[in-house]
Amino acid sequence: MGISERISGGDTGTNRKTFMGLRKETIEGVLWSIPYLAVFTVFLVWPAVKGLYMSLHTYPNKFDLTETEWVGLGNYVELFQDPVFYNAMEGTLLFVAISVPALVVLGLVMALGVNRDVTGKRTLRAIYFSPYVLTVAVVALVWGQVYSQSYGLLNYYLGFVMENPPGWLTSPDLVMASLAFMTVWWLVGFNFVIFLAARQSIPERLYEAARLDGATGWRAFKDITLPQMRNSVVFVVMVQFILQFQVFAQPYIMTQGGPSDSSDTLVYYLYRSAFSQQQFGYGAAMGYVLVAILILIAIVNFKVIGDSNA
Amino acid sequence: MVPKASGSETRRTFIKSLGVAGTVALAGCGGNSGDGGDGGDGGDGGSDGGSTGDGGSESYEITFWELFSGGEGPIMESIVNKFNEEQPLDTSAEVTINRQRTPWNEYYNKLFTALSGGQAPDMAVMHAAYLRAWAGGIDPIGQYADTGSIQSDYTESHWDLVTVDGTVNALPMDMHPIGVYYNKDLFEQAGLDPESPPTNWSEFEAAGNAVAQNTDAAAFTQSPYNDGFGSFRTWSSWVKQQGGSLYDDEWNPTFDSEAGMNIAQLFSDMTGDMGWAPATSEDTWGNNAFQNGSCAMAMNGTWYVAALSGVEDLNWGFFEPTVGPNKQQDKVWADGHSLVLPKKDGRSDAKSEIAAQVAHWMTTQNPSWGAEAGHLPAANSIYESDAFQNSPYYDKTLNKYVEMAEDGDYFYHPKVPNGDPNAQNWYTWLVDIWAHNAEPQAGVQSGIETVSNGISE
Amino acid sequence: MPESTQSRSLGAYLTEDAVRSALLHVALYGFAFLMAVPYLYTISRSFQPNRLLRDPRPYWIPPLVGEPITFEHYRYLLDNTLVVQWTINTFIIAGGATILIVAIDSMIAFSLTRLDWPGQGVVMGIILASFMVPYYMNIVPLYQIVSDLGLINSYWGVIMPAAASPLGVFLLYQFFRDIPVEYEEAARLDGFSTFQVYTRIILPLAKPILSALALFMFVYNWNAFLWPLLVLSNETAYTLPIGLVNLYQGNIDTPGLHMAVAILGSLPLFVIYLIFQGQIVRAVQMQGATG
Repeated sequence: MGISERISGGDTGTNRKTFMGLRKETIEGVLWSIPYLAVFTVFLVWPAVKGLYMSLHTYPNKFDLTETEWVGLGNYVELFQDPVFYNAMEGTLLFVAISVPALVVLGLVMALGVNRDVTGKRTLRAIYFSPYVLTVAVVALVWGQVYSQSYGLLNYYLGFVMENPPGWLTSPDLVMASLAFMTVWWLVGFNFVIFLAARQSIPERLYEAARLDGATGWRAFKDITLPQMRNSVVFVVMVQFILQFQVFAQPYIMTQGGPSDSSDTLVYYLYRSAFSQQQFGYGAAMGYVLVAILILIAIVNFKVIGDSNA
Repeated sequence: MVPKASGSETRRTFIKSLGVAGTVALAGCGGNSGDGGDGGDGGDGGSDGGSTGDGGSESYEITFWELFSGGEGPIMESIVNKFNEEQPLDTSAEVTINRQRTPWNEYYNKLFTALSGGQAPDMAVMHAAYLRAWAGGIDPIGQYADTGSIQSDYTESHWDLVTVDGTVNALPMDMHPIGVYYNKDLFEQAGLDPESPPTNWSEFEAAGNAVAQNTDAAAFTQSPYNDGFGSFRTWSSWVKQQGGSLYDDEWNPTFDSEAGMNIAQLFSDMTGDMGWAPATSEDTWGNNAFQNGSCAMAMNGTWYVAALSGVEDLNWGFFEPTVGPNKQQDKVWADGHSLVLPKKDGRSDAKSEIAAQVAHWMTTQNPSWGAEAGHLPAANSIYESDAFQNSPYYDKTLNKYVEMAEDGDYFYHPKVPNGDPNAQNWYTWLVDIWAHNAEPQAGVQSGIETVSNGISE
Repeated sequence: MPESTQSRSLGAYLTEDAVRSALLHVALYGFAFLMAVPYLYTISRSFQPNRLLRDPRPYWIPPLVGEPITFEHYRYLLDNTLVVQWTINTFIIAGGATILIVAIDSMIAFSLTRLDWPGQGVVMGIILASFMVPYYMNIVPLYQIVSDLGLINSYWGVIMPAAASPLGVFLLYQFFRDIPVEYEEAARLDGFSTFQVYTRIILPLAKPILSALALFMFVYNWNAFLWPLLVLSNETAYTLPIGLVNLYQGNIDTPGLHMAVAILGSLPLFVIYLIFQGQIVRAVQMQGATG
């Protein structure tokens, strides 16, 4: 929602609702959407719909997936009585609660910091984004060496100031936080880039105008920066919620859900059921429960942070 | 505002790159230019639409999937290359093996997905433990090979390994049981005789206590990777030695039998009262400790030899793991690799027979697999071969593994009817017990639940 | 930086600002250093012999304490001639996917934000909802579809499912919405067709976010592991991440090799990022100046 529209006070948009115009625009609109929608439908929607179908069946013969047994909501009922599911949910929520706020706030702070009058922006940008180019297996390797209890970097130095440095990945109380911290390090670059792009799209004249009014520093931030970046904040929060809720690779590679299942997550459990043990119906049910949860979060997100086009 | 790249320019570059990508994709799936690689004349696209091998051109390309890495990788590669060069089969057709390696962790996922999409390879490696669960996805080897006549090529225990409910599902390639590797220098330091390692529980207990008391080192690690599966190998061996069982007739786990609980308690005590090792779930703790000399004994499989020989200053030995407490019988965990023919529509009978012959050759004509990788080969001829007898590991480990085979000590990793028997998360409860993150009782119960769920539909 | 309107001596003003600036630099660079430490450590370790790697004590620069460094891990990897092939494959896949994604995502985002047609909201809603579908649930059905289309073991089998990702659409949607309509109105008055609005107005204005999207998608597709692994069944067709893992995987007894695999696998992407980064900087500067 550009500031121009706010200034001019209303919808100056493409309001060519002549009979011919609307038809033409509709055709155009659809045409421009077709390439993406074609790929999307074949490679995403269709498997997902098939997944929904699978969640209502069980597959007694994993080598012949045409052999199905209808169970209706049976898989879902079983899921809601499954203690492993609840444990995985707990782990996921904990992970999200730690990682998402950190990712958003840190990304914002970094972007605003780099935007200021500093030398060597390019270097800073490169370093801040660099962990993002690593694949998760490499991140796990790198941090495995940091977190290892007896052989790790962190505990070697902590050992100089404390008796028994903690087991970052081996203590059920710390493991999720450790994984979350590592994930923030890894992924904050994404938010950083988005926020930086958003910040730098804000026309300078707004700040000039504000300066003339004597509004600087914190006030400028509150009244100009934050509102102008609202869409990007909504976007980032939503995306991070959705992505981190689906955390899987970090516990899979580093801790296998341990110690004693304290780092188990929803998608990891889904992977085990649907993929590793080929319990497709059950895994699919889990997938759809996850979708429902995420849709709920998305709705809440929109209501709370708001959508400036509304 | 002059745009740098107009839309039509973007389009053009896009179409051009489409063309490039397209041609590359069409030209044999990105890859025949690898001269350093193997698998010769690729371009088959992994699918077998009945084009090759139907008698017309008399040449067969056998796609072969395997999961070997580390030291075993190059050995398998050289075996395949040898076959492709020598063309040892008794047929006029030209047979080439197209070998594909998949990382161990994802191997069965990939195999299953391919099976479900009709894209399975002609031949694949499979752990014997999977032969019952995957019976629905493979063609029993007896369908294409005369099992009656080739049975004598293999040792009895290997033949048993690949027989499921009377059907021979695969051809055995090797067995990789476990044993105890120990540090001779640490033994000496602890006041033990480095040349006479423990042969029973009381000697084992004494050795461990000696190391714990007289040195700074840890005494024992149940699995150098500190992983669930490795811990299971150790735990199950000692449970069986005490006469316990792992599953009942209906495949319900019986981990909480008396023997099962005893050994679970032993694990907890080893890192507790006995002080044999720190109670940690740290990844690969044992491996680091054993290799840098701060752990005296490590229970691991045949494959450890290759790793240990690469460590300088490590003076190591090996003894049989029949040292469990209250032992009633000698039982040692073993599993093995076998070669299977996955079900594949469109693979002609002729080709399947050829594939079976290839499998037969690969499992019987390769002493290097045992000699260099340290596994127990399946074929009788290999045992007598010079290469095997002269293997650098023969005196250290292989002869003892052979002895255990001859004594019939091995029991096989249970061939569960469903699920993933090598899955780490089936056994992480043992690591929880070892690391004191769970009481033995609770840990065992959790294990029973996880495995039961895994086995169920 | 806001100019102070309070009366201060020039010296005091400069000092306060200078101090603030210094603190800012220290904070930003200090933080950057901390961020880089973990992988700098890994890079250092990739040049250390296995013996040092098993030591609980960390070594940063071995020669400083009289220990050797070694190139043996890298040599082992680079001796395998397929590494170059894998890098090329990955480049093609990641590049192809990125170009396709930027093109089709920008097209639909344009359609959803600048054009008006019935059902827009529904389409956007479905795309958004699909973003929440966990990837692993889809794999088996997706594989069957790809197989039915005959795309197994082809780069298209890897690229097409990647191009279905809703993230790009979502991202561009948010940003395209912010482009002021005035530009478009003016263009329309000048007689621009829809296509021209797309290419001459929207695309240039959206350069920063398009570059960002391209960057994210390239990184994602370069690093993609599981799906390419399932689809590609020819060692020479493998991508770099897969090929390298195959060389090393599971062999914890050569930690040095593991380090080298990690660094070597990441290096091409990092270099490409550095090059790309220049583009983003220029695009953003242009944008900011004219905004």
